[in-house]
Amino acid sequence: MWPHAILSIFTTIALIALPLASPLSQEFQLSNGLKLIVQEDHRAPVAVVQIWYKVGSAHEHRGVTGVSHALEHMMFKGTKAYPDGLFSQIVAEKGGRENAFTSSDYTAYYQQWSSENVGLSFELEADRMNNLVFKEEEFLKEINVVLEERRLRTDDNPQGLAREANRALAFQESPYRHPVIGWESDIKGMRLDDLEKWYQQWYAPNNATVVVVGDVSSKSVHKLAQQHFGGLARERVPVLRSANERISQGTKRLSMTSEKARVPMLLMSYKVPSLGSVRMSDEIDEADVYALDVLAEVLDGDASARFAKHLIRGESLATYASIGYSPVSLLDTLFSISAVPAEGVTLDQLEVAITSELLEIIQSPPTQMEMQRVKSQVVASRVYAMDSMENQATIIGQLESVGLDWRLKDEYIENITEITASDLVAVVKKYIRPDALATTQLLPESLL
Amino acid sequence: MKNFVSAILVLLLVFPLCVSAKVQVESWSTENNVSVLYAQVPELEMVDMYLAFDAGSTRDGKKHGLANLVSALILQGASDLNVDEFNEAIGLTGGNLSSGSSSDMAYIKMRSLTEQANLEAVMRLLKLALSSPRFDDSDVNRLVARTLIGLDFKKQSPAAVAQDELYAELFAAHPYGFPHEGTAESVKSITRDDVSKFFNEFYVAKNLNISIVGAVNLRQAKAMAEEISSILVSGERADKVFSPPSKKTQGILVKRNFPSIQSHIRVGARSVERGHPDYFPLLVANHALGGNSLVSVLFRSIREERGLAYSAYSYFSPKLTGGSLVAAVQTDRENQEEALSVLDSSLEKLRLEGFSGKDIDSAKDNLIGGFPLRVDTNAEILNYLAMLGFYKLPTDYLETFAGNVDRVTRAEVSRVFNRYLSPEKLVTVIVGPNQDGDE
Repeated sequence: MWPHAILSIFTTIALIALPLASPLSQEFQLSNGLKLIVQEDHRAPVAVVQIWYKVGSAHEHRGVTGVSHALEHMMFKGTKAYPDGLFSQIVAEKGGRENAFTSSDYTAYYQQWSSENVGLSFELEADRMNNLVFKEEEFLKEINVVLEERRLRTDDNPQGLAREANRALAFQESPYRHPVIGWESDIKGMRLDDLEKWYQQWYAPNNATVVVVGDVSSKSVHKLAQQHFGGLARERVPVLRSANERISQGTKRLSMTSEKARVPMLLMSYKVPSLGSVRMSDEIDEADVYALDVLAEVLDGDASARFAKHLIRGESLATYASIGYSPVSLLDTLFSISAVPAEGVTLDQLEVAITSELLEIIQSPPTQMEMQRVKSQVVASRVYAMDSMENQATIIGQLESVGLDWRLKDEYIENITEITASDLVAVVKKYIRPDALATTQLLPESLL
Repeated sequence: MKNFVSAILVLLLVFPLCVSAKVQVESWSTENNVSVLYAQVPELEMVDMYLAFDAGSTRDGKKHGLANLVSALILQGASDLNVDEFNEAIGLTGGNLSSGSSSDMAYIKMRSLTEQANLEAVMRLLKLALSSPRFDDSDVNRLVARTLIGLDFKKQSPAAVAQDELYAELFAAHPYGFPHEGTAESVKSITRDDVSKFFNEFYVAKNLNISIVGAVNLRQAKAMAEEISSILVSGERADKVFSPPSKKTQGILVKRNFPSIQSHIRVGARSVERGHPDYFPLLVANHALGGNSLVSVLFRSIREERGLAYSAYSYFSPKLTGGSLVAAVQTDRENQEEALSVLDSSLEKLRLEGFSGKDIDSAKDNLIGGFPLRVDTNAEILNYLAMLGFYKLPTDYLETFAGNVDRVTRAEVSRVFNRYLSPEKLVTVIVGPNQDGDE
């Protein structure tokens, strides 16, 4: 989700004088602890309104995994003031789009519509923050919807199952081992009471961040926020203790065979720090996170990156190879490589090739040219990212929700200018190591 | 509710004006007659360009998958730059080039900063790709192999299998009846010669529409369009694709066994091509049926009221020579019969009684009020312009959209619903475990 971000000082093409239109953004805090961040964007007469709660599957334990996500579903079931889908009807009638998403670190709700409706968004969100009605009958239907969602995304999707298994393999202690949607048995065993408790515990103004991007004035949005959210009382919210986990007792391996799969896949996940986790620990330098982000770009930034050039073209060992790394996470996370072998290449051969491609960074550190290319792309992507208000709001909300300052959105790029090729060599040596690795091979039964 | 109603009236009056004020569309033709649509968006220092060629899979002939392969091969090296060098050069510009294809169209998109040096560098590479793509054997072979693995991926997705089965039934021997990636057999038969012949025949000025959006002025946009169009040979306008012949059926049910937990159900019928007089009534009908996400008839009856599925929706896809309207739902095998019967009875009820006035109003309000959201990024404006240009829709489409939706009556919606979704025209496809055996 987070764009790999780096700023160049010098590039071959004149990027130095690029005047970046700095958006007008402002932060407010209400006396009940609710945080509001507004970014003005007057290109179109619309606005996106998001409300982020700092609760997700990282806050869950076995037995109630998936409760944050199930609660997200229930949040559309109505309050006394806006019962039975009236919320969604209003949004639809006014031409709005709405939805919600849950991750390991947060749960967020949003509306996109005419900017004159920002106050209405606030009214509706403030209402369902405190007044949600929990009906057994609605819950029973909705838990079935969640099970169908799990079947669709995971149980009927061999790659989805392999990703879920790889995560659980990599982490032993960290709650990141749980899938956001929850383990099937936990979803099946869930009761209305679990959701209600979760709601009481985590949904409070002092655990929420409201982000508005669009054709608005910060001042009047602040006023609206005070009007609608100002009356809510601050509540006691549990504190998440550090649950970081970086090293295992050795490499972990899982070989899966699947009747459903037609295409083999390899997942190699290394446990690494994130911007959130380094704040909870004195041992790790934040610069490591930036270096890992640049590393991901050098290996998999575009069609000229090393994976594409060496693995997909070059030796034609992979049909697909990519890296997932989200620096904006609450806890230690995964630097995760997923790859599909080319015809006639085994998963073992591909694993050897990927490992040596990673270690090759030590033997042949990125050239001036490689670093420049990554930097040119990232400078430009900062401009491109401004095209979508939704995207801007999401970056702000994510940062805040994992305990970081939203201003890091821009500072991130400057912090990363310090990163050099030798920093990449250092993080490969430090984190790309056998005792941080969990490998999952997915093999179709038909290929056995 | 009163204040909501009045707010909607205000939206109706204000939004079309806002849209036209914000998105001012200019159109012209280049010296060699390529038509261009352009909208200036000065706020962000970036520019997007969309080249739409009449070179989609309708041009495949017997080599299904050819158009798809050619569009991927366009950006794999050009002139003296091999694929590695070409991609490295793009990377350094800070810009992006991407390409792809659908059944009607092949596209190349460019995104760049407006800084002169950057823009010139991306444009140079784009022109190189258009004038002298290499189509090296190694790249052709690699992308053929990638396509074959992509086809295997599709085979493990019950949704993709259901989709292909449905289109095969709806369009039979028409190009819309074939998956645009082709089949394993057809893709394997494609040679480098096929690729360059296809490119020479269809990637020509006469088959091109250009759209430009961003922080460039009219003079700059004209220069960009001229640079691109003049590098192409004029060529021949591709023949009109035949319309799918009409079929008399008694309603068709296709069942396929699949090793999944859920059954994927699709019920669809042919609809109309873009620009057809029934376009707006069908747009409203589809929105009320399953397009208006959390409040549509299907969402309510299948998910809200019964908790039978995670997603229950419909989509209307008008193309150049025909179109379809499809409802889709996926549910645990043990709920298959119930979901199908709810779906069927919803459709039957709508044929007999029509939509409620409330559903029609809600769909229209959402389409009209939501229109500004569909053109609130440069990327979306670009896609709209490309669609208008390629399908030869009037350039005032954006301004007249709200009025056109607003004029649709409940009676018209009922008329198109009965005309296009009558039982004998419906094809039902079910892909899931324990079906009664293949038909």
